[in-house]
Amino acid sequence: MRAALPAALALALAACAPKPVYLRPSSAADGMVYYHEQDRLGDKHAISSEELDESGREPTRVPAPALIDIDSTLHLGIRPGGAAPDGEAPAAGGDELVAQKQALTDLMLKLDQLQGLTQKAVEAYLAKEEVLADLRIKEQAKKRIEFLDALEQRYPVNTETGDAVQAEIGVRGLEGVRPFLQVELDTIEARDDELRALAESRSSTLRIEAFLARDDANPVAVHVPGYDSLPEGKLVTRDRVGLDLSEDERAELVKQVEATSALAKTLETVRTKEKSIFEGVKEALDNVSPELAAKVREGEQLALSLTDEARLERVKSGFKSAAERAADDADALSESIRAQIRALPDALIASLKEDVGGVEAVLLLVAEGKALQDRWERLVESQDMSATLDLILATRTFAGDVSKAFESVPKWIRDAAKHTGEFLELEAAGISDEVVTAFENYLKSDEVTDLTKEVHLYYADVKRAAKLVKETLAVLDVGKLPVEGRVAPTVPEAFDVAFDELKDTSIDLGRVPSADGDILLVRTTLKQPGLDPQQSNAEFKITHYGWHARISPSVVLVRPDEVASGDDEYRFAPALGWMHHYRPRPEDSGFFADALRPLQPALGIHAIFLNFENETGIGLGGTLSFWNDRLQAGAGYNLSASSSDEGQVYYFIGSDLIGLLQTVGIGDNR
Amino acid sequence: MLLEKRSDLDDALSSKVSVCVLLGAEDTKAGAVHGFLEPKTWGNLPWQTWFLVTDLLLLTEEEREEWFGADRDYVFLGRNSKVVTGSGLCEKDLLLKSGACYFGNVQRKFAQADLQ
Repeated sequence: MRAALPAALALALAACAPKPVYLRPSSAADGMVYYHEQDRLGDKHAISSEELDESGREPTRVPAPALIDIDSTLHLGIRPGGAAPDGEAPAAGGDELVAQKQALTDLMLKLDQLQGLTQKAVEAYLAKEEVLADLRIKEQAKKRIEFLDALEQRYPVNTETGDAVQAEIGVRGLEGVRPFLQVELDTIEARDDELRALAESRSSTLRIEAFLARDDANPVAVHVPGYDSLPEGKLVTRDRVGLDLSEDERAELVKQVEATSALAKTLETVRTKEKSIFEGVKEALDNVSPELAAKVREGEQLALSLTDEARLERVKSGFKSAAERAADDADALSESIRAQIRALPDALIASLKEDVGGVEAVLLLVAEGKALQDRWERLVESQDMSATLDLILATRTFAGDVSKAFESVPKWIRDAAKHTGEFLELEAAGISDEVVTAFENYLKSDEVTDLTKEVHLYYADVKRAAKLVKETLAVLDVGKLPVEGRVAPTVPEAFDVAFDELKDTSIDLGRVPSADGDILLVRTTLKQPGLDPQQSNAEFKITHYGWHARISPSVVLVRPDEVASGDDEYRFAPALGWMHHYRPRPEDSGFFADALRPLQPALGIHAIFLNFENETGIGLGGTLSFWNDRLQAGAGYNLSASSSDEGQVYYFIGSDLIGLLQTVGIGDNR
Repeated sequence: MLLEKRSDLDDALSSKVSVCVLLGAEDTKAGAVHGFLEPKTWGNLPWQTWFLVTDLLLLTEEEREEWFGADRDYVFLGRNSKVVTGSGLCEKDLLLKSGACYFGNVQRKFAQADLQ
């Protein structure tokens, strides 16, 4: 039996160890990106397929999430072949237009040149500069023949347009050709714009967005080179030895060490029976999660307030008085109904007492009461008869609603609802001036207003209690979607990249301010002509592969090997370990990797704050841990002891309790 | 212009101008071409001139033979050399099928004459 417990614990913890998860590709978008990882030493590791396939890039699995090293680079090999081919692009029409536009532009250019040369020739001729004029006249003549040949090729004579062009030449010389060219050029440009827009709408695009998500924060956009305009990000140098801490990491460590020390101290006072286990747990909670502890304290106060005998007595007497008043006022009511109404307050108080723990049931009851009360208040405010009649008619429906609303609560509430329903039904059925007047007076009476006030206050407390339950659940991470399931927002800086401009890209995790356990989400959106956009989500859990070390505070049960007084029991103490971990990669095999993977062992040195024989001291020694420091054992040497019977040698067993609590959702989850 | 006196043609033949000579009465195809050219709005240049010869006697025997032969009614003469750079039938070369003037070809023929 004793051996079975650690084995079961080991199995459970090993099952909790993060493992890469993959899905089958299910869309064209899944097939477009081939992921592989390049570690800090330059070695490449497959992600999108079991074996690295850099040339074929055939994704056979989608990471959901895969594990990648915190200091690696994630490569995204883009594979447009993974998507269906583009729709038919209007390339032929576009090419023809380009050619025509070019021909027209050439003609325009030739015309300009011809006119320039002609002007120069005329100037030389009129200036009687014979040699120059001769030269210029020949230049313009050559250009003219060239232009006319090209013009007639475009606008052949004896055609409608060709003859119109000739007619224009007759009126304005070659300048008359220009409007023809310009109109045609404008038409082609307009058509060209249309074709370009059509081509754009017909071409496929890919968008890649990346985010870093962690449990306690919203996803943050991560730069994907070539696919967004986000800044590149600073290159972060990470110390895998775990000693070169950033300011934030140091502050976090100090907080954890202080919490661990306080936790060990509290546990020790419980062990020595100075405090009850209940007090101890509350105090420990204060150290581990001050936020949760505050919620618990507020809950205690509310529970006291909601179960306060004097307060409940006030509610009870308020209901009693109001019911008595109602019974007295409603002459038409039968004696049995009056008796049932009188019985209501006792039943209600019994419920309040019983159901303080089940806030929901109380809330439901009071919420319905509140709705009823609101109607009463509105009725009081509406002094006119027609409004009063409307509201009384509405009570007929309300009576049915009350019965429905109480269907799921305990039997006595159903009875109460039934009685209330019958009462209201009766009132609504027997409408008469006398009843209405009596009802109005009843609503305005001191009994009803006092009760309303008391119920208001009680209702406010119950509402707060319900909210507190929700807040507490939030602190405990209950009901919160895991990072993997969250929908990341869009990155406004990301853009669609056309297929012919797609390039491979990579995300350098050295530039991403990530931490162990964070999730890198990569979303690719494929847009194809005539098809709905497709998305592919790939997830990568950030971890440390290979060797890495970190400082780990823990709470341990330590005992001296030998003390003169004979008090060699285990006692709680805070310890600080420098633990060296090794995490094999998924493709690593062999005994070493197979043993390391489930056990997650680490070796390290530690310092412990000891208290043997009422003497405080510091111990130094070695630690062996399993399951990511959750279970630790070690031995060391007490530096303050001068002889073996002063507890010079000690042993301990302990746990990274803070981490363990964080794992189950208590405390700051970083 | 309508050639009324030989001296006008001689002046043109002795100047550095490109010359077009149309041969025929005013109601012929040559006369029609002449009528199209006369408004001088078709991009004619200062060194280009044209005559409508309605009286064959204003031309020398040699000119009649060399320029028009038996079946031509127009001729273009080089600006410097005064050699024939183009000749033929107006109906075929200088008029469109519609009967309108083929101004583009008139310009082309003058340009060819400008080169000589």
